[in-house]
Amino acid sequence: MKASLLQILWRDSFLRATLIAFFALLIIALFGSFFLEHPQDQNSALQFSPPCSEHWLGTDFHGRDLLARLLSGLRLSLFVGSIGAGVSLVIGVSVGLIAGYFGKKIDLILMRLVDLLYSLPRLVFVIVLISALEKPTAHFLEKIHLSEMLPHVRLLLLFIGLGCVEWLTMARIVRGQVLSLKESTFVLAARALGQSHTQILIRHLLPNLTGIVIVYLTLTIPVVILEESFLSFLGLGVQAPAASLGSLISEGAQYLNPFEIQWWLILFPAGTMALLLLMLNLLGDGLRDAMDPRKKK
Amino acid sequence: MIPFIFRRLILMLLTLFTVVSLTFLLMRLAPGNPFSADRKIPPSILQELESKYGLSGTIGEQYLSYLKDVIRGDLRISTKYRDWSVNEILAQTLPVSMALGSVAFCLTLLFGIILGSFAALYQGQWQDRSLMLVALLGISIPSYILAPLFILFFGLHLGWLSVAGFGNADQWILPVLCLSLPFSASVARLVRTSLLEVLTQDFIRTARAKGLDESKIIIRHALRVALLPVVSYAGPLAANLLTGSMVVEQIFKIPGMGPFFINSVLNRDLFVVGGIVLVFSLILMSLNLFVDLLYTLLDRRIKLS
Repeated sequence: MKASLLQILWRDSFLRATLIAFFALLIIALFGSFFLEHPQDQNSALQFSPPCSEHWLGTDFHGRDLLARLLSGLRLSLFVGSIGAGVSLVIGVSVGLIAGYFGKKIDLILMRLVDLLYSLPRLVFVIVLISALEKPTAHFLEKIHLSEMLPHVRLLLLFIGLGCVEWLTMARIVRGQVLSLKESTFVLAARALGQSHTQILIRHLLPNLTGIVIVYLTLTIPVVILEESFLSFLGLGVQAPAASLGSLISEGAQYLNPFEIQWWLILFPAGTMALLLLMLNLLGDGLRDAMDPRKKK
Repeated sequence: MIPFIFRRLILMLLTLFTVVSLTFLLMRLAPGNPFSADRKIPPSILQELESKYGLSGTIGEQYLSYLKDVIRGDLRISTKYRDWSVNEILAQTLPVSMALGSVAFCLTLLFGIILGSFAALYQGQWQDRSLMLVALLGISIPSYILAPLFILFFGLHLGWLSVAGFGNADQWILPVLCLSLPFSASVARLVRTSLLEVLTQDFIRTARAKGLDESKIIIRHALRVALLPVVSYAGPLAANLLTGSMVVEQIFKIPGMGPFFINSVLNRDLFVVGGIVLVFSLILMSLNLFVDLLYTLLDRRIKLS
């Protein structure tokens, strides 16, 4: 199934270009820092230097090279996006599987819950959750001797919080699929052969869902990246000196003033963010359209 | 219809109860006190403060007394802005946020429907392709990225529009645009997809066979059906606008609920947080109920259950 998903993208020339560009960005984000001469050291003499041959994208308030900051921000955003989407995948697929397979009361209750959560300001809850649980989580980590994790408490809470609010669409899609799949003869056969519900769910239904799940995973990653940067923008996401695309944009926005315009601080992070999300959305959309049976030409 | 509304109202009350309880307990059980973040307060003074704000006794007692106050409609006094009750803060900020939100809401739907229909009309041609690429770009650039970019370009570079404050007409333009453009992009995509699907149906072929011209077919017959998904998107759209407006208000220095909420979360001002979360949830759930009712009026095939 995975190979065929890649094949779908490869067939369309526009999507192929997007895919190549996306992998190029991924490689730059992962390995670009090794080739930089200016790691993120502070140099107040170089404060707010515009883009030049020395610093391609200019420098920030502390004289740090914006390119280096941008690369590490890109890495962090991608990281949060994938882990957050992963958490949402686990919750969404489990809820969808259970609701769709067992039906009746369970289905009704779970789907009612999904409807309800759709209608609530979910990010507001994440904000409250992060601010309330930050200290208790830190204490907990200290207790179980994971003190080296302490600087990453916010990140940990971001994964959990964002994963916990972004599983709704996934659950709906998976449930819909399971509803139709569970009527098929292979499920009946497995049942007749005496397999348990858990075995049927994991061995028979789950593999059939891989395609659609990967598609919606691709579409969830940009959403999580967006939400992470939204929280970072408000100062509730990653903490300095760590940078994500959102915190870089927020820093750039802070220095917006009519007297001295440091346009590079806002333009480059915002551009990178838009580019990254555009590519992810293009790929996800392309996959979804290709898998939609109604759209077969 | 009536039993349906009744059941939904009960569910709404239950949800509000859960939301208020969770917010209060989370904020109260978290370490630190709402009166000072960094300075240690002498225990005797802390005791006085706690009893004044109804935060003394066991957590159960505190919770019950807060719940009683909320049911009476008293959202208590802010622990940070100590001369202000939460009701007063809401009375001042809610109208501002609602004004901004509803203007953005209408603009979003207007832009989205016009652009989406236009793209569907030119399906597969360059107008459609470029519009949809722009729409995808719009989805990828959220309000808080658009806002600094617009400020940079229209406000500082060209000097056309004012970049902060609230009141004059020209101070409305940038915030409303920043808030509504990204979401009009998703509405446009939705309208396009659903319109294209409707246009393949039999009743459209009949309309064409009758010799109606294309614009009449779209406006009179197709759009009416094609807009149903947009109606059901109204709920999530309002939720998105609500969270989006938090940053837009912050960036453009608009005195709405958003900045108050963010500051209160950071200050652990639990009654303000509780009050705003309550209002947010109430607005969204009422809107959703309204949308569900509207939906059945528009599409008679759907029965309320």
